[in-house]
Order: sequence, then structure tokens, then C-alpha cells
Amino acid sequence: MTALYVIALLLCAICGAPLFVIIGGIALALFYAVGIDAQAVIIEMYRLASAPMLVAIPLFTFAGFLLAESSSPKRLVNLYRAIFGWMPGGLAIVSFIACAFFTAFTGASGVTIIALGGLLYPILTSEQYSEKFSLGLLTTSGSLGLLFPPSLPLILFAIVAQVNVDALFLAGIVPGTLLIVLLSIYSIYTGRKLGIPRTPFHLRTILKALREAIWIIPLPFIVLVGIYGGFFTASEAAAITVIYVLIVEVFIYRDISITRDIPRIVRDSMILVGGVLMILGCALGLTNYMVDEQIPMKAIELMRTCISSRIMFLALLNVFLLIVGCLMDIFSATIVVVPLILPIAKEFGVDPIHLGIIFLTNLEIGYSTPPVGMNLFISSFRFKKPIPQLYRASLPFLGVLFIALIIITYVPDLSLWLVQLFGR
Amino acid sequence: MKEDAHHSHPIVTIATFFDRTFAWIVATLLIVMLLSMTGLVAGQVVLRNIFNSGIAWADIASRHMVLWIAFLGAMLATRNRQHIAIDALTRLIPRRARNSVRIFLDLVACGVCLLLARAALDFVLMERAAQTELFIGIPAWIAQAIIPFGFAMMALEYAIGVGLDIYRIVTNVPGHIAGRGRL
Repeated sequence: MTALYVIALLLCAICGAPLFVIIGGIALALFYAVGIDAQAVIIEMYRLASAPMLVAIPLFTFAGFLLAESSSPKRLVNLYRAIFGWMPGGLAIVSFIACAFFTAFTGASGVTIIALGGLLYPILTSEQYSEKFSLGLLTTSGSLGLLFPPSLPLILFAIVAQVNVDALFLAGIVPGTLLIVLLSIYSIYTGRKLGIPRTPFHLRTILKALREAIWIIPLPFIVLVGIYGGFFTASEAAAITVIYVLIVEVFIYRDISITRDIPRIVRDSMILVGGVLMILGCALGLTNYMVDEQIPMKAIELMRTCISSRIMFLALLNVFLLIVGCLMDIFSATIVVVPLILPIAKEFGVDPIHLGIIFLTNLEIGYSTPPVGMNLFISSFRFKKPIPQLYRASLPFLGVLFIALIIITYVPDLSLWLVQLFGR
Repeated sequence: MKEDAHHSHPIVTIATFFDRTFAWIVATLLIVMLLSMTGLVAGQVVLRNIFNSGIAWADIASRHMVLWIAFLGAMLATRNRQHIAIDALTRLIPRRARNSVRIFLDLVACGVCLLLARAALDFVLMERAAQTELFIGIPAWIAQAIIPFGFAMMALEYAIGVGLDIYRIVTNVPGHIAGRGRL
């Protein structure tokens, strides 16, 4: 009976029911089946108010939405253009870095494509990049940068997997850079092949662009120096970021009006936060049930019989996560899947921090993978292009990202050496 | 959607008024919570690094503000039908079939939210009986009350959504897309 009920709920999930309803419903059913009062689900959910790290989620998201709504994307793009425009494929590199910067702050929620896509697409096409290349670039870049601190998925993984968020922040930097470097190499090659004219290098343009973007540049450094200099925790860094961004955007640049924009931005960003935390809250009950019933242990037993080596486990993990990534958004995937794979990964000797980076890289790729990657839909909506066209456009970029994924998966030191260097 | 409020049933007009007022209250509370949480957490940094002191209850207060923000945000998400969902498949089916699927899913969501609200109410009543104090004299159950209230409001939002969708389909609003939420 319980099994039927759970299957019915899963069917509803595939048809588009809100995921927190499905997860909450399944938790209720399972607790009921083993004769535990439904209050247990709520007691677990109340743990939302006991994790200090959770404070960072609404704050960083709000800061990210504020940045995306201002003209900061434009200022940054201008600056990066002045710096990298002379290189072959320079504008593409500019796009990668700008997208990564914003995704790190907005947390890969589709905001990057909406905020930066409209800005970069006309520039890319006017500089004679093909439509296909430009669309593919912007679609796949929508989730680029979620390995960089202080991205929401990193924080969420740290909370769910109970690893140190400071360590995870450090771990993402080198793999994240690898993704950008490999994509840049591909763009330089394409830029050469298409014979795209380059803009000459002018120190004066750089200085002018620098002056205009001077207040945004310090942002990542405030976060990093603050946390690793021991001045504040990651959650406190989030509050400082909000105050800094508010002062810069409202009083210095005057891009954002307190009365006109702030209420709307609070609403939009907190709808996302509420959605993510509701799934997390409901999933806490479900995870508790699974631990009580020793389901991860049973999964380990099962895995041991079919998988013999670490390499094989990692390969299967990648395939599994790529599928998850194109079906689910990154937040619910993290909340639901991580508690299941974490003990298995430990069993095969995969460091939880390294697992986090593999996990998020996979989901980042899954985001733009046909048929149902979310970036494809957001892009299709933003650029008014049919989805099949976006499939074709994003394929070469996905190829490059896939190579990076293999490197990140099989070279753990890429993720771990900064962590060891700082002794976190 | 806005236009049909003018020539529709008085019940719809009244419901629209309550819906907008309620959404306004929730959004205002969200702004207050978010900004005061920012101030509180940032204030701790300043107090600790410059004055070498701190507020004892700041941490527990900010964590409970997250709980409130989560539920307030989720109420708005329910109203706008913006909850995270796997909706790739529903995009592919025709509008009429999709309308019935969405009405059914809203009913399921309404039911689950009601069950969660009841469980949460039991939890809060227990906590109230236990008289746990959160900080500076604020009882824990008041902070926790947002959980049953939040779920109850979400159940109500889904129920209103179902009612309106059926009403609009019956009165043949052209091109109506069910499950949009919002009056």
C-alpha cells in the first residue's frame, strides 16, 4: 500500500508537481508505514533553524539578484572586453568570465542567462561570431561558475553532506578555472577559424572601464579574504556582501531604487530561496527515515557486489549524475541525491570534498544537456529560439565540458590541493 | 488574467482583494526579515572584530529568521506557482490535457500541505505545552508557528487555485492555462 502511494507520488513528480510536496508526501507515507507520528517530519524540518550555514543562502541569493538587476553586468563586460578583447576569441572569453562571476553570486538559477544573455548575445553576433556559437556559448555558460565561491550550490552541498564549507569553497576554484580555460582554448580556436576581427589593446580604455567597475571588482576578494583571513564565517560574509552591494548599487552607482526595485528583488530572490529551503526541509525528514532504515548501508552492500573498483564507481557516478542533472535542477538534486551517494563514495575512498566538486560539475553539464536541461529552456525563452537549435548549438561546448569533467573526476588533487595548502 | 476580475463573480473580486492584501503583507514581512537578518549578522561581525563583544541571542535569532524567510518565500512561490518542479514533460502535452493534469496536481499538493500543516500544528502545540524559551523571553512555539501557518496557507493557495481554474474552465475563459496561480 505504502509502495503504491510512493509510486503515485513519484508519477506526480514526473508530471510536474512541486517537488517539496512529493518529498514531504513520501516522508509522511514512510513514517506512517513504520508507525511513527507525522510530527517526526516536522521535527526534522525544524532543523532548518539549527544550521548556522543556512543563513548564507538567502543573503547571498539576495546579493546576487541585486547585482544581476543592476548595470553591474554591463560594467564588468566592458572591463573584461577592454582587457581580453585583443585576443582571438577574446569576446567569448569575456563572456565566460562574466557569466562565471555572476553565477558564483546568483547560484545558477537561470538568472545569469536572463541578465547577461541579453547583453552579450547582440555583442557576440555583431562581432561576427556565428549565431550557433553565440547561442551555445550563452546556454552552457548559464551554469558556468557554480564551482566558484560563494555559489549557492556549493553552500547547499556543504550543508547536506556536512562538510566544511570553507574547504569546499577552496576546492572549487581550480576545477572551475579549468572549465573556463578549456572553454577559452576552444573559443580561441573558433575565433581564429572564423577570422573574427580583434579590438586593439588600449590602456586608456582599460583604465576607463576599470574606473567604472571599480566598486564591483573587490566583491569576490571581500568574501575570500574575510573568510580565509579569519575575520568572519561564510554566513557573515554573506551579510557583509549584501550590505556592500546595497551601498554600491543604491548609493554609489544609483542603479537600484530602494522603493521601486528592492521590494521586487526581495520577492523574486526569496521565492527561489523559499522553494529551495522547502525542499530541503521536507527532505530532512526523508533522509532521517532512510538513515533509520539503514538504506544507505543496504545500497553500499548492493554496490559492493556489482562494482569492484574506484575507477568503475566514478565512471558510473558520472553517468548517473549526468542523467540526474538533465532531469532535476541542481538544488533538489543536491538535497535528494547527496545523502544517498555520500556513504557509497566514502566506501570507495572518494573524499567528500572531491565528491562535491564532481557532483556539481556533473550537474553543471546536465543543466545544458538535451533533452530536458534547464538552461536550454531558459535560453529558448530568453533568445526566442527553438529548443532543437539550442541542442545543436550547445553540443560542442558540452564536449569541452565533458573533457574537463573527466579530468576533474580522475585527478582528485585538482580539487584538493588548495584545501590542503590552506589546511582547511 | 487581470481583466477578467472586472466582470466576474463578486466572490472572485473579494478573493482577489484578500489575495493581493495577503501577498503584500507577506512580501513586506520578507523585506523586514531579510534586512534585519542582514543587519544582525553583519552587526555581529562589527561587534566581534572591533569591540570584541557580541549579542548572545543573535545567532539563534538569525537562524529562526531563515525559517520564517523559507516559509514566507514558499508562500509567495505557491501563489505564483513558482515552486521547483520537474516540468519538462508537461511542456510537451497539449493545453487542455495539461490543464486537467495541473488541476489534479494542485489537489495533491493541497492535500499534502494540509497533512503537513496538521503534523506541524501538533508539533507546535507540544512545544507550547513544554514552555521552551527561545531567547530573551520569546517562547519557542511562536517562532515555530510559521510552520503550520505556512503549510495551511499553501494548502489554501492550492485550493483557491483549483477553484479558480475550474471556474474559468466552466465559464470558458479563452486560452485559459491552469496552474498559473495568481488571481
